[in-house]
This record gives sequence, structure tokens and C-alpha cells, in this order.
Amino acid sequence: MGDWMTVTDPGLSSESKNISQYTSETKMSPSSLYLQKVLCSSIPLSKNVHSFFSAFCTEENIEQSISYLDQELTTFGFPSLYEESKGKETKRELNIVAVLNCMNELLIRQRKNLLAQENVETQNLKLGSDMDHLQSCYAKLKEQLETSRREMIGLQERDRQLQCKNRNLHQLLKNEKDEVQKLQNIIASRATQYNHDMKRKEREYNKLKERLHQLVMNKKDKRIAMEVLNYVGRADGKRGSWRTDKSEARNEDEMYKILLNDYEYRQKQILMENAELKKVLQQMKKEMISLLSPQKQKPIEKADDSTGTGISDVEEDPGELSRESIWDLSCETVREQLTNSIRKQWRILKSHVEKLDNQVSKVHLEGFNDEDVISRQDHEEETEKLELEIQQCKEMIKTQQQLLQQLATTCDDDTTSLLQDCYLLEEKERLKEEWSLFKEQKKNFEKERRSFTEAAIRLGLERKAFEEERASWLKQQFLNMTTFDHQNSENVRLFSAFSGSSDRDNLTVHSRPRQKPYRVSNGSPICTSKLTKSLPASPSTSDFCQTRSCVSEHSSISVLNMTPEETRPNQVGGECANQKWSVASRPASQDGCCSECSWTSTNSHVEKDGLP
Amino acid sequence: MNFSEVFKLTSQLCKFSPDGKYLASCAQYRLVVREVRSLQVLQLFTCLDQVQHLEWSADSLFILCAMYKRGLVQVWSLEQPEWHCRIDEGSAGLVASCWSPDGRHILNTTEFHLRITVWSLCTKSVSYIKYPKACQQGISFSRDGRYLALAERRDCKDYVSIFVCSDWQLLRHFDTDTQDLAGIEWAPNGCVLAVWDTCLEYKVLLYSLDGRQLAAYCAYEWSLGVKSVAWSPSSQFLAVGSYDGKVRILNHVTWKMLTEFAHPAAISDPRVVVYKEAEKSPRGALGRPACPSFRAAESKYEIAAVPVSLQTLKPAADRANPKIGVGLLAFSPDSYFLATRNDNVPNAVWVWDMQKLRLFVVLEQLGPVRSFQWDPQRPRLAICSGGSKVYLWSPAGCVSVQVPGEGDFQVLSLCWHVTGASLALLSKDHFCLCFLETEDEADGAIGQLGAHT
Repeated sequence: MGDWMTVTDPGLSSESKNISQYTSETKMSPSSLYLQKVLCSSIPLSKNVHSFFSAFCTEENIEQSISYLDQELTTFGFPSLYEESKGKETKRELNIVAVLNCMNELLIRQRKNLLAQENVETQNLKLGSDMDHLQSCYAKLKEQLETSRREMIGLQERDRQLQCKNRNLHQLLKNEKDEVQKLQNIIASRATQYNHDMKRKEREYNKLKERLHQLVMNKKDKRIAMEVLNYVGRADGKRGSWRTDKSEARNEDEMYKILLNDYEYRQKQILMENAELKKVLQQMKKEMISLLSPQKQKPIEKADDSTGTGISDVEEDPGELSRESIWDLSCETVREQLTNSIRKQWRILKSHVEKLDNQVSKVHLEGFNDEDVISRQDHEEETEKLELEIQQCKEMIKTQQQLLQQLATTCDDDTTSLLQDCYLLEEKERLKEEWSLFKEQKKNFEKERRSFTEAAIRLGLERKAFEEERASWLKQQFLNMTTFDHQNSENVRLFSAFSGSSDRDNLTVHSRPRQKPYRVSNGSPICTSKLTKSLPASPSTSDFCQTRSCVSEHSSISVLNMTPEETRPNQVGGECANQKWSVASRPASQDGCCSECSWTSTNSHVEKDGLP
Repeated sequence: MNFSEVFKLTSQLCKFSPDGKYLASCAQYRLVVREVRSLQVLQLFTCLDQVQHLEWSADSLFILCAMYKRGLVQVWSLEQPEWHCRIDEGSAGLVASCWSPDGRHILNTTEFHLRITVWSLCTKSVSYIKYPKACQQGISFSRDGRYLALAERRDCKDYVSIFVCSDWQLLRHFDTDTQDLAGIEWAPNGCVLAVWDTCLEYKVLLYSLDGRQLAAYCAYEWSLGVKSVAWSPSSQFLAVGSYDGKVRILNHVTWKMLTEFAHPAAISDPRVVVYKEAEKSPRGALGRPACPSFRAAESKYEIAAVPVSLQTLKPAADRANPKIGVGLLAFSPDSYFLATRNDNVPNAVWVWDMQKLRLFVVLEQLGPVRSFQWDPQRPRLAICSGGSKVYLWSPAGCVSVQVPGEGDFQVLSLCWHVTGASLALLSKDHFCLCFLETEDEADGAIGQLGAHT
């Protein structure tokens, strides 16, 4: 910890040494008394500067002081204060330049010393605070160590306790096990004892029974008898037969016949089941083959797949020769072949399905990408359109401004007014022309609007019709389902669900390739995909494409071409707000557009005023 | 659904004849035979004492009335009312009496199971079978009436004897691997005999007709075992209900367990329909009456939303024959359904779908289920729970029907007519018939119900 104390500037220390040297030497000076006084009160130095100097040097001892200073300075390596004497006798002159230089040098040194001292002091402070910090850290860490040590002890204690508990539990478990064993032994012994007792009792009971039997049965009990009015015939009409060996043999025969019949029946059932299963297997195989074979023609197919099918086909061939007989053969001979081929085909199918899955996921990804592209294109188109509109508006504004300027300037000069009149006339003509153009445009827009509403109505009707159709179809489906009796209903439902799902699968499978060529041929995949996504119940995508384009056109135009009759100054803001939706996706251009719009509206207002 | 008037009855002795034409019932010592269609009394026989057991012969020609207290059996003929037969077992006593399947022999078991006497109505001959075992179900005739399997006990070992019923010749005699045989039953096809051990041990053994052991099944050890056993009519399944509250279904090919049906008190499977009988509440709780019978029912079924927890009974552990385990088991005639009752959930009937091997429906009654029986023709289950109502379930739905008439008619037991057109409801000392609609109507009604429920 004492290291930092030693880290001091060696230059400084040497200087301090110098100072001490210097002070020691000053004792020889005549004014050492004063000097000591000064040294003692070195801190209020600045205050006592005058007094110090006045004390050091007085009128009387100028010479002495100078010589003393000279001596001192020369010892410190300064040049002498006196001028170089030419002769020994001549009194040395005080060299003012040297004195000044020395003074300056001394002052500089003093300043340097002060700076160094300051530095040392701040460093000292810093180091002190560092030390404080480190000490506090040390204390904290010590505390932590203590707490963790305590914790460790606690945990060890707990561990010990738990181990103790565990040992106890083990002991208990062992005891319980022993108890269970003991009880089981007891139960077993009791059971044997019980059985033994039972047997004994039963023997006694049997003895008693025997005795009773002898007593009751052997004595001719008159009461044991049957009174019958007359014996009735047997149910089968036959007479009772004597018990003979022959009848015994016959009974045996009959029993075995019954057993045999039962086994035959069961065998038949099993055979039937087997045949059914085989049929299913065969059908499955066939379907698999038919499902997998068209792929072979595809050049894209993977090599291993094609080889797989090839192998299975090779194996097929001998089966093909005697397809009927192969199913009649006992399973053992065909089983291996059959299971192998099925397994192979199944593997192929699996890989195929996996591939399809991959494709589907890819298509999904692509689809997303497409959508992105579409939206961007859409945006671009829209921006282009808007920019065009802005351009037009700007032009219009420019012409209007020109007209206004012209109007303003014409007031000044008569000749110019004449000219202006001509201009005005001309302008009027032009405006009229424009007016008629506008009217025509308006008419066109009206027409378009009408056509759009018509299209919308048509669409509504179509949708309604479709809904009805769907409802009727659902109803029919439901009725079909309900006509089945209860026991089959579950199966039917299952079946229908299965078929439904397969239908859906087919649909999706078909719809995908259908979309692709459409995109390619139409060259504008924007509308179709978007529409099919948002409106799955659309009657036909092309219709929608039309209507949608119509909508977009109409909307943009209607917003742009607010007819003068409709616009009022206080409505402008509202119109702008209404318009925001179409540009909302592009916030950067929004403001500009809005301002443009307001411009156009005000413009039109002006235009209206200007019109006769 | 129509109900007949109420007739007197003792000891719940009321049986339809096997051909479905007649109905025999006993009131004290009188045996009354009625025509089922008109319920007119056809014959009236007077026995020597109060009848304790009544049984029709298989050809519906004779009726056996046993009076165990007197050791007497009286047989009556429907064709010849004047014909009579009286069998006296004398001092040997009588504890059980039954017809042989040909309807010409009567098997009487003497007291203490000393022997079984086979009395013939055709000849004077009497046969004796010694050492019959006193157990839950010791006698079993095969469905075709050809063979009789009899449990025997000799020298502290269980045996089974198979007799040919036509001449009572012993066909096979073999010992069974049981501690204390409790019951035997033929499969409906008559080729396999199921044998089960006493409740102290879970053991089911299957024997072929020729005495070979086909299989042995043991689900667990050291606990109370088999409580009830039932064959499916197709002989395809053997359902074994046990004290652990489970039914295990064995298949007929490998005789291994196909599945086990646990009977949990909490039902959480959303596919299971739980019908809960509820006291009649003002209409509109569910918007419709659950019972469209001509009389207002006092209870109705509501479909409870799963999960449902059923009322359970805490069995007394320190008493014999604890009320736990599956005590009642019955397959529907088409083998599609299995109805069970777990004795510690006494209010519920479980109906299992045997095609999907899962729980199909649970009916929770207000009272404990006394008995249930399947319609012999259709998958339709009649249930009674000791109240004045009879409950019918079919896959389409279920109804609760109040038995009309003054006073409380507590249905303790019921039995179906062979055609399923009517149902005899038995109370302690009365019975009445419940006529269900003819097939088309009934189907319509049930269909309607199904639409409701």
C-alpha cells in the first residue's frame, strides 16, 4: 500500500533537495534572519512580497545584496549579474540584462514548481480516494466471503440433515418391505392353513354328506316318487334309447362333428377376412402403382425414385403373369415378395409426399414473395399515376397564375388593356373549350361510375346465386348424410369427411397449376392473387380483375376531379382526409399530395369564379 | 306405449312362454296362464302350496312349479289341463329345480347338494347325478340343448362333467384348475365352456367341448376377483366383470384380453353422452319435454355436459360381499352393445360400444339400478330402479316412463317378451304389461326422441 507514496516525480524531489540546499546555504547570508522568516511564512508569500523585498534589500545594503544574489545565482549556474570586468581593480558593474534574465528565469521556475506542486496534490487526492474505494471494496468482499461461508455451512448442515432423513427413510422403506414380506408370508401361510382347514372341513362335510346320503337315499323312502297321470311322448317323437357303447360312440362322433363344424366355420370366416384383406392390399398396391407411375415420365424426378419404381416393376412382372394365382397361393410363399414390394412402394410414396410437402412450402414462400412484388408494383404504378396527376395540376396552376398576372397587368395600360381584352377573349375561348372538355370528361366519369355500380350489382347477384347454390348443396349433402341409419352414420361421416378432405386436396392441387399459367399469360399477377386471397367466393377472377381496375380508376379519378359544384372551401379538408386512404401506404408523398389536392380544389374554386 | 291393468303376483313369478304366446304368473298357490295378446286367463291351476319357482318348458307345453319348502314339484300341461304330474323329493329335500332343454326331463337338486335327480316325463326312468357342487352357477345347458355341463366337487377338487342331454350319458369328465369353482357357462355356439373361480381369486378358464383347456386368464392376484361373466351372443367376446370395477373383454381367437373397460366415477371423455335422470322441472329448462308419453312423466333425462362425476357408494370393507365391482353385465342381442353396472356406482348404467370398444353412453338414474334387460330383438335396453318408472334406452335416445295406476307401482324387475313388443313389469305383489308400439311406430317414436335428445 505504500507503493503509491514512492511514486513521485524525481525531478521534483531533486528540486526540493536543491531548495533545501539553498536554504541551508542561505544561513550564511547577512539577511538570513529575514529569509528564515520568509521561509516560515511561505504560504502567504504573495501578500508579503513587498515587505519581503523591502526587508531583504534596503538602501544601505544594495551592494551587498547584489553581490549575495550574484553569488547565489552563480552557484545555481546562472550567469553572473555583473558585467565582465576588464580589470581587477575596476568595480564590477551590475548587468541589468543579466539581472532581468535571471529574474525571468526564476519566475518561470517558480511557476513550474507551483504547477508541479498542484499536480502532485491532485494526484495525492486521487490516490487517497482510490485507496478509500479499495478499502471499502475490500471490506465488502470480506463481508461477502463471510456470508457465503456461513451459507455454505448452513447448506452443509441441511445436506447432512437430508442425508440423515434419507437414511431414516431408507430404513423405514426397508422396514416396510420387510413388513410387506412378512405380511405376504402371513397371507400365504394363512391361505395354506385356510385351504388345509377347508379341505379338512370339506372332508368332514363329505363324510357327513355320504352318511346322510346313505341314511336318506338308501332307505327306501316311499315319499320319493313321481306321480304322473300318463307319460308323455318325447318332443322329437322318438323313443328313448338304451345307453350302450354304440350310443356312446355316436355321442362322441356327434361332439366331434360339432367341434369340427365350429372350427370349419371359424376357418371360413378367417379365410374370408384374409381374402378381404388381400383384396384391400392388392387395391392399395394398384393404386400406389398408378399413383407413382406417371411420375416416372417426369424428367425432374430424382434418380433413386425412378430406380425404386423400376425395381418394383421388375418384381411386378412375374406376378403379372399369374396375378390370379398369386392370391390363391398360401401367404407364406408370396408374403415376403408382397410385403417387400409394398414396403418399397410405400417408401416411394412417402418420399413423394415429402417432396410434395417441400414443394408446397416452397410455393408458399414464393407466393409470399410474389405478393410482395405485386404490392411494390402496385405502389409504383400508383405513384406514377399520382405524379402524372401532380404534373397536370402544376401545369394548370401555372397557366392560371399567368392568366391572373395578365389580368393584373392589363389594368395599367390602355393599349395593354386592349391587348388584354384580346387576350381575355382568347382566354375566354380557351376556357370555354376547357370547360366543354371538362364537361365531357365528367360525362365520361359518370358513365364509368354507372358501369361500375352495375358491375357491383351484378357481382352481388352472382354472389347471392352462389350462396343459394351452396346452401342447397349443403342441404342435399346433409340430407344424404341423415338418410343413413344410425349404425352406419358414423362410418358414413368418416367416409364423407375423408372424401371431403380428398376433394379439398384435389382442389388445391388443381388450383395451383391453374393459377400459374394465368399469371404468365396475363402478365399482371397483381389483381388475381390478391383477389383470390381476399375473396375466395369470387365467381371468376377475370371479372374481378375488371371490376377492381374499374374501382381503382374510378376512385382515383373521382378524388382528383372534384367538380366545382361539389367543392366548397370548407370541405377541402374533409376531402383531403378522405383521400388519405389511397396514399396511406406512402407517408412520404402524403403531405405533398394533400397539398396538391387542396391546391386543385382551390384552383377549381377560382376557376368557377372566373367562369361566366 | 300402453300399459295393461295390474295383476296380482307373488315372489315375482311371472314368465312369458318361450314361444311368446302365453304368460304364466303365480299368485300364492295359484298358477294363472294368460294369453299375451288379450291377457285373458287361459288356464288356472292350483298347486299344493305357495309356489317358489316357476319355469316354462322349452316347447311351451309344460309349466313347472316348485315348492321348495315341501320338496315338491308340480308340472302342468297347457294342452291337457287335466294332465298332472307331481314329484316329491321326500326327506332329501329340494333346493333347485329346472327343465332340461328337451322339456321332458326335470332336474331336481336335493338339499345339501347331495345329488341331482333327473326325472323323465316320458319314461319311468330316474337318473341320479352325484356330487353336484353348490355354487353360484353350477349347471349350464348349451344353447342348442344338446349338452349339460355340471360343476362337481369330489375329494376337495373341482370337476366338470359334460352330459349328453338326449340320454344323460356322460360325455366328458375333467378336473378344472380352480381353487373353488364358482360358475360355468357355455358359449352360445356350444363349443367353449367358460369356468371361473371363486371371488377370492381372479381366474377364468376356457374349456373346449372335448375337455381340453383352451386358455386360462388371470388379470391380477391377491385381490377379489371375478364377479360376473357374460358371453356375447356371437360367442366372439367373453366379458368378465370383476371386483376392481373393470370389465375385461376376451376375444375368441387367442382368448387374450382385447380391452378393459374401467368404470370411473368421473367421466371426462367428450364423446360419451351422459343422460342424467332429473326430477320433473318446469318445461323450458331444456325447452322440450324429455318424455312424450301420454301421461306426464315425473322425471326426464337431461344430457349432462362432460366432465360428469357420478354418485359413488363407499363400500363397507368389513362385510362379506362388498358392494363393489361389476355385478351386472349384459350384451345386446346384436352384440353391438354391452350394458354394465358397477355396484359402487349403483345409480349408473354404462353402455359400451363393442364395435369401437369404448364407452358410449352413461345413464345416471335417481335411484339404484335394480336390473336391466335387453330387448331380444333390437338394441334397446329396459332398466328399472325400484321406482314407479321404467326406463328405455336405445342408441337414438332414452326415455323415462311413469307406470300408470293408482298407488305406487314399484318396478323391481322386468322381463321382455320374445318379440320385444311388450315388457312385463314386476313389483312386489303385482305385475303389469307394458306394450310398446309396433316396430314401425316404435322406430318412429324413438327416432323422434332421438331428434329431441
